[in-house]
Amino acid sequence: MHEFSVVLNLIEKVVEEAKKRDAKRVIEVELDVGQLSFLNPEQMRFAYNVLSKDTILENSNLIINTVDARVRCGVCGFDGKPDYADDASYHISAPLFLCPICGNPVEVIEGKGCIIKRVRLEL
Amino acid sequence: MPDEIEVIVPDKEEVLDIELEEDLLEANRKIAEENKQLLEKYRIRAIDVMGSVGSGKTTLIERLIGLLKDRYRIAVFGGDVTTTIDAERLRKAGAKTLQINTGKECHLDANLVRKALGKIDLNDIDVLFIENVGNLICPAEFPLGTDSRVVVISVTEGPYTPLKHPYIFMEADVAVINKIDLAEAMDVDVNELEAKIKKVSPDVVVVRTSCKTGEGIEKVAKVLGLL
Repeated sequence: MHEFSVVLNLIEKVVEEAKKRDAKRVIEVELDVGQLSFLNPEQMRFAYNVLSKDTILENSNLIINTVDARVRCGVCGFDGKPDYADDASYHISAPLFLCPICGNPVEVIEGKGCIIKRVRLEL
Repeated sequence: MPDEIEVIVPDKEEVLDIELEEDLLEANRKIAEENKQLLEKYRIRAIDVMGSVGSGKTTLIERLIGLLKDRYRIAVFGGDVTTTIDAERLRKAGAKTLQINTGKECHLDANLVRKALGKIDLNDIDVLFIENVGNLICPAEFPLGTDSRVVVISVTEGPYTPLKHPYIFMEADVAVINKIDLAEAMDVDVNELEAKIKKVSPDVVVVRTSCKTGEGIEKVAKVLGLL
């Protein structure tokens, strides 16, 4: 349920921006959510609807873009999507943090954040 | 009849797009960094102990206190949704304890830890264990500012935990496979379980323990640099 604390934080930030610009209301908020973050878009929308009530964000539109995971290998220089452990019997697809080319541990470059990209205000 | 006059009405609404590049998870990371600096200033070694409900986090900390209490002054922050059961146990084991009840939250965050750090005398502590809320998902996303992060799983959770929850293993420095005394009864191959952990998180140090018999506890203390 940590979507609630993240969305609460989001709403506080947007309210602050809207106040700074004397906005009448917030029309739209656009978020980039990394594939490797632990945030479920469905739960974020639910939290957004509940927590935006009686704020300047009430009835605004929430856009959530998913940012693909990107990893980099310090050994062979591979830069791209991680491999996934796909096994139908597990019903899951776990990312593997090993280089798909040389097998060494990789560093995560993208896909862990939750970034407010844009806020559309009515002035 | 006067000519019809064209009136230019201002747009009913003026719309402004603001480009922000604000990372919502960054706020926690910043506070975690401040916690880390504060702990370093007082030379306190801090360890975040994560893991599922019933995996043995409290018993592991209890055992580590037993092993290390003559060497260090130890404190424990216990993160729980409501009760103080764990804090009571750890106080009896010989540590100063402070309970952090999250109320409804499923994880501790850096801000809760910062508040807790303000409530104890930091001059009085060498080692701080922070027992996170029993959960394998959310704590991974919220670093607290500790030197090390430990994830505790047990063979009773079955063989798939690392593959189902890869992120927490990726964030951890040490993974403890607990209750190895029950592996046979549970029909779980510990070697296989360890291989799965290494598959999702190649850098993590894996230690096998039985907090019931005490097996492996010294090794945990060693890999944490406490022995």
